[in-house]
Amino acid sequence: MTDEPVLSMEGIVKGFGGIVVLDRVDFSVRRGEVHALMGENGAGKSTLMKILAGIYHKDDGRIFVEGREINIKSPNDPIRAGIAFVHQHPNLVPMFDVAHNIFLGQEPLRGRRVDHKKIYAEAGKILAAIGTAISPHALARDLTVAERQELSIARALSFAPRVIAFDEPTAPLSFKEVERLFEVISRLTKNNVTVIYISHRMDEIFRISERITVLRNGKSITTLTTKETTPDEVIHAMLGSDIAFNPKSVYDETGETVLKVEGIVTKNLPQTIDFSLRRGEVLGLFGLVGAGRTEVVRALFGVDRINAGALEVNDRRFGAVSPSLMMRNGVALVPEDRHALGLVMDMTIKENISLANMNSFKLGPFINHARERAAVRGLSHQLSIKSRGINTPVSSLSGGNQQKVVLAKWLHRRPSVLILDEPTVGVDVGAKGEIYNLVNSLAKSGVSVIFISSEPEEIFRVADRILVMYRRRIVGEFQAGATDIKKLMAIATGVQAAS
Amino acid sequence: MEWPLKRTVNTKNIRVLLPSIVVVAVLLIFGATLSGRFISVRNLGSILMTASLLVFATTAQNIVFLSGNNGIDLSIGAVMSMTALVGPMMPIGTPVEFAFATLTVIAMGAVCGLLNGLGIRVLSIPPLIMTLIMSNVIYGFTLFVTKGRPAMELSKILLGVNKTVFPMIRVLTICGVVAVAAAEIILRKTRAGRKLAIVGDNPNAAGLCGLRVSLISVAAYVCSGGIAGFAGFMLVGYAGSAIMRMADSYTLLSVAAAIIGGTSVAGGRGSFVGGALGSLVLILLTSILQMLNIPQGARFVIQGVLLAVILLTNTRSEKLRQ
Repeated sequence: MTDEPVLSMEGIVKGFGGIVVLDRVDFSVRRGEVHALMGENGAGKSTLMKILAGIYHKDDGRIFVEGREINIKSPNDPIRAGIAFVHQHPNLVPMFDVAHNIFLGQEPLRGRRVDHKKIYAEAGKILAAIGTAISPHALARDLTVAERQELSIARALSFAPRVIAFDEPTAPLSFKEVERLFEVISRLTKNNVTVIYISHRMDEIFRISERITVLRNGKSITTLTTKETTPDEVIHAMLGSDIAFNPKSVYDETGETVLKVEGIVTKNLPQTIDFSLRRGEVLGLFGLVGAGRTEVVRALFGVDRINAGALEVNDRRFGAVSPSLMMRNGVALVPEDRHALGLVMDMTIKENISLANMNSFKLGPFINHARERAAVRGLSHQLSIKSRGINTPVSSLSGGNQQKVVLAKWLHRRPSVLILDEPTVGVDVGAKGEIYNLVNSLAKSGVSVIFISSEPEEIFRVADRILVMYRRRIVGEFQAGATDIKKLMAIATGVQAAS
Repeated sequence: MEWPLKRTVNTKNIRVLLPSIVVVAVLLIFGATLSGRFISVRNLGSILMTASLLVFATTAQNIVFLSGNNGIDLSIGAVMSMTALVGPMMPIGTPVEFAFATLTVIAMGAVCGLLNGLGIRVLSIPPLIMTLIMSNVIYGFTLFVTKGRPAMELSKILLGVNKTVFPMIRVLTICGVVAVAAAEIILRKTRAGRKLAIVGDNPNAAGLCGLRVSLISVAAYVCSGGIAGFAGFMLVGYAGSAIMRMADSYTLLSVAAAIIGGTSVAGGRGSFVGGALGSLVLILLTSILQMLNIPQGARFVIQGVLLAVILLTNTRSEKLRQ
C-alpha cells in the first residue's frame, strides 16, 4: 500500500435548484484500502457517489485517477477509468443466468457471434476469485438477496476495476451473509483493489475500514485513520459539536395505555416487536434508514399482514388489521413518502383533505360541498396552510404545506393515536417548527403520537420516550432526559448494545 | 373569494376540452364546404345519433380508464354485439317487457364486467389481456345462444330510438346526452365518483386512507359492462338488425374518443363530456370520408392515420402542460 491516491475528488461542488448539496468536497482513496464514507442522511454521500458514477454532473471540482484527470460525463466513463459500483438494489436481468448477467452489454465475441463458452469460463473464474458458491448457470431470479449482491460484485469485477464503491451493502443482509461479504471484501483488497464503503453501521466500519471520511451538510469534515479514532469521535464529526438539545418532558405517566403491540411478526419484521403507548404520550421511534421503523408502521396500520402477535387499540384486541379498521379505531398514519403514499398530487387541497373523511361530508350519495369547504377552510386556517385557496392542486405547494395537508386530512378525524413517519423530511425549517409545535399541542390535548425520525435532534425535541431500532429490532428504550445524542447514535449504528 | 376560484377551475376544464371543440368546429366547416347536404338538419341529426351510440361505449371505456391500474376494457365491442343479438330474442311487445329486456341486457353486460374485474383484481391478470380474453368468451357465448343467426325482426318499441323528437334530435341522442350528464355529475359531485378518481390517481394513498381499492376497481368494470350492454341494445334498435361482431369497431373507437376527450390512460383524470366530444370528432370524420366517396378500405386507413395524429398531439400537449 502506498500513500499515492488511486482516486481523488477535489473541490466537488453540486447544487440542485439553488440548494448546495456538495460544497467543495475533497475525497481521496489509496490503493488497496477500505475507505468508509460516513455521514447522516442528507449529508451528501449518495450525491458524491452519483457524481463519480456519472449519474449526476458536478458543477465544479476535479476528479483524478492515478494522478490523471478524468472527465465523467456518462456511466461509461468511470468504468473505463476503472471505477465500479455495487448498488444497494442491483439491476439484474432476472431471466438471464449468472454468467450472462456478469457480462451484460460487454459480451466477448468470436467473430460476430457472442462467445458463450468464454462467458461461462470467464464468469467461473471471477466467481471463484470472490470465493462464492453460486453457479454461472443459475438464473438471476432464483438467487437470494445475498447471492444477487455477490453477482453484482462479480459484475463489477468483470471490468477489472481499481476501485469498487459499495453503497449500504449490508442493509438487506443477515448476520452470516455480512460475514461472507467481509471475506469477499478482504480478498478484493488483497488483490490491490480499493473499496469505498458507505454504511451507517459503525461496528462494521470499525471492523473493516482503514480510513474514514466524514461528510456533514455537504462538506467534507475530516478523514480519520480508523485505528487511531473512536466511534465517539466519528459520531461527533457526523453531528457537529454545535448542536444544542433541550429535551422536552412532562406528560402524565399514569395515563391509560391506548396502544399495545404484543410480539408482532410480519414478513418484514422477522423478530417480535413489543411496545406500548400511553394517552398523550409522544413516543419517538429512532433508527437510521432501513432499521425497520417503517415496517413497524406498516404492520400497525394493516398494510403488511401480521403473522404472529396482536395489537390492542383502546382496549380492543386485534390479530389482523386493515387501514380502514385502524381508522375506525382512531389510528391515523402520515406515511413516509408523501408523494407516493400520502397525497393525490393532481388533486386539490380540498379533495386531498376530504380523502380520508368522505363519510363526514355525505349528503345521500353526493358530497356535501358546503360542509366540505367549511371543514377544509377551518383546518387550513388551523394549520396555517399557505396557498392561493383550497382549490389549489397540492402539487404546487411547498413540501411543508404539502405535509400540513396530509396532517389536516387526519386531524379532521380526531384520532387518538397519530403515527408520523419522518414527517419533516423535505420540509423547510419554519414548517418543521410548526410541525413540532403541533405535535406538542396534540399530545397535550390527549392524542398519543408515534414520531418516527432519523434525526436525533428532532427526536429529543418532541419525544417523551424513545425507542431505538437497529436491524429490524427494537434495541433500546430511554426516557427523554435519560440519554444523549451520542449514545442514541451509538446504539442505532450498532456500536453499543443498550444497557 | 369564491367566485374567482370557481372561474379558474372552469377555465381549466374548458382548456382540456378546447382541442376537441376546435376540431369539431373545423370538421363542420370543412364538411359544409364539401357539400351543403352535410349541414342539412337530416344529416346532422343522423350524425348526432350515431355519435350518441359511440358516446355510450366511450363513457364505459372512460370509467375503466379513470379507475387506473392500466385499466382498459377491450370487451366493450363484444358486449355490444352480444346484447344487440341476444336482446331482441326476448319478447318486447309492451313497455313493461321493454323495460325488463333493457334491465336484462344491462345485467348481462354487468356480469361480463364483473368477470373482467374479478379476473383483474383477484387473479391479477393484466386488464388488457383479461378483457381481450373476455371478448372472445363473449363471442363464443353469443354464437352458442344465437347459433349465428342474425337478429332481423325487431319490435316497434325498440325501433323507436330512431324517432325524431325535435328537428335534429332523436330519442337516442337524448339518451346519450342524459347518460353523459349523469356520468359527469356522478364523477364530480358524488362520493362514489370522487373515490373512483382517487383510486385511479394514487391507489396507494387511497388504500392508506381506508378506501377499498379493489372493490372500487371491480365496480368500475361492472359499470362499464352494464353501459356497454345497454349500448348494444340501442345499436340494434338504431340499425334495425344485428349480425355477429357488428360492434367490433366500437372497442377501438371508444378508446380513441376517450383519449381525444382528454382522459389520461394512467388513470384518475378525465371527463365524460370530453369523451362525448371525442366521439363527435370521430363520427364527423367518418361522415366526411364517406361523403368524399372514399372506398371503405381506404377510409379505414385514413381514419387510422388521423387517429394516430390526434392522439399524438393530445399526449404531447399533456406533456407540455406539465
